[in-house]
Amino acid sequence: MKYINILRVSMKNKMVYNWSVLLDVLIALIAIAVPVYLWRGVYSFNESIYTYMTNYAIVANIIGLVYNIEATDKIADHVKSGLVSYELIRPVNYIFRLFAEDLGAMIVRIFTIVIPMMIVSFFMFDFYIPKPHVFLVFLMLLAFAVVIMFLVHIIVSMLNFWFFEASSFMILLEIAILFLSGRFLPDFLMPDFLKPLLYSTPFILIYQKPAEIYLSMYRDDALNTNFLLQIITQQFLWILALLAIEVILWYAAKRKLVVQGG
Amino acid sequence: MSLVFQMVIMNFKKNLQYRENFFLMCFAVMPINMIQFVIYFLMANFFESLIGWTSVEIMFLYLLFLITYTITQVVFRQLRFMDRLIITGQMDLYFVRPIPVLQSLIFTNFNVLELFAQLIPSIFVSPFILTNMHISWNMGKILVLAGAITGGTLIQTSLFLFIGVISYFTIRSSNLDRLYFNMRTFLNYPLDIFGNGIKSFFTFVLPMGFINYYPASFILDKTTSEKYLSFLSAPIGILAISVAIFVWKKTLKYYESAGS
Repeated sequence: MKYINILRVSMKNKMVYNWSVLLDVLIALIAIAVPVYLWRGVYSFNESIYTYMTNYAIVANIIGLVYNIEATDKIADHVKSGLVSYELIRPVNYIFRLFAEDLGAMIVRIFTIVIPMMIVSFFMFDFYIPKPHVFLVFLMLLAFAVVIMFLVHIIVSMLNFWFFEASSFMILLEIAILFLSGRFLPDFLMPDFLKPLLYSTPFILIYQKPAEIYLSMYRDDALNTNFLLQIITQQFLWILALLAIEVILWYAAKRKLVVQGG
Repeated sequence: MSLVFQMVIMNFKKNLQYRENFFLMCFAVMPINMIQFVIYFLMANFFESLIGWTSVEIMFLYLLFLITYTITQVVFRQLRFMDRLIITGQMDLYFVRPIPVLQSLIFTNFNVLELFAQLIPSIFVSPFILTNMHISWNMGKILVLAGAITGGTLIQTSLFLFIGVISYFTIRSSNLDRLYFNMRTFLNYPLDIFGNGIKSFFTFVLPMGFINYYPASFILDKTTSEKYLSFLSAPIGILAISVAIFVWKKTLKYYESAGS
């Protein structure tokens, strides 16, 4: 009756996978629900403000579901284990390969978690679904934002080549992104003395500006093309700047590796 | 007893081995909690009150949670990552030792880092919070506060124990750990804003409301009808930890007998 055992093991494996997906959905739902209730409570006296803020929070958190950069963990593992020299011998560019891997995971996540969450939020929280052309523009901004997000993470994880435990820097990066990206508090709710700090990093272009474009027809009645062009230019410029920094750091890191004899 | 003491010293020394790393981690984890306080402080700019709770009072709510969480983390943090220990087989090391598994897990892994990273923000922020709130202290409130901290710590510990226990039966409990962190965010705010369903969930199903919400609402004179609930923190804590330890011991027996 060994086939029954095989059946049992296979069922157990599949169930573990299903529990994992269910858990991910639950986690995503809670992450969306808490800010929604919070903003409803805060602005309970003014319905138009709180519906805007709840939609903003839902968009921001759904964007957050997409960004999950695993490349940084992989770099840390490779450097710590010394396997990085093996990885560098491969015929594909290390960084591009990591980007492709993360991009693949993100695309899957869009279909398995993001779109279901959008539908669920539509029914549970009256989530606003924009017109198709706005949504496509939003996706384009998201694509650029993904590149920026990836580059920023890679640059900070370059520190793995110089420090034994760079995870503390990664934690600081995550905190900075949480705080400065408008994911929780958009910039019009931040006090003025923090605004220079907000605008010196590219993080608002990752969360807040795409979210504002997504909701742009909710507030006014047309897609503000000037605003859109501004955002795209800013994203583009940041990508160029970050690419330059990354290339410099990458060559420095490789040289350090060679010098160390790895 | 002296064996235990030696293990604690040994662990402390182990942590200090990589000194720069240790301090770096301290300074990295500290901002995580500070940021929460900063966010609440900034929120004061644009909202008067959240169903009657001001931003400082919400900070107090979070502080209560943080204190109990810190105490539990220092002693029991490794319970959240037990699935790694089991998969790599390190769990068996703990079974071989002459002292009970739980104590062994605790004392070889005192998480001093957590003390620095989380207690220090709390110490920084407490004077600010306490001076900005107007609490009329009386004997009952002091009792509730003491009950909240002890009971809350016990409840948090039992949660950690449950996460550890479940990792025996499922392969990846790291997801459960993420779920715990997610559910925590509910308790950052007064439970009333979430409606009756969620509030009852955190009262009767998962008694996390007793860690900070009920005690805080009593201390801050927020409620009239649920006064008696705030005194239940310590009893519920004792109940929760008894159940958790019972389940833990059962699970250990099962693990031993399975021989994996």
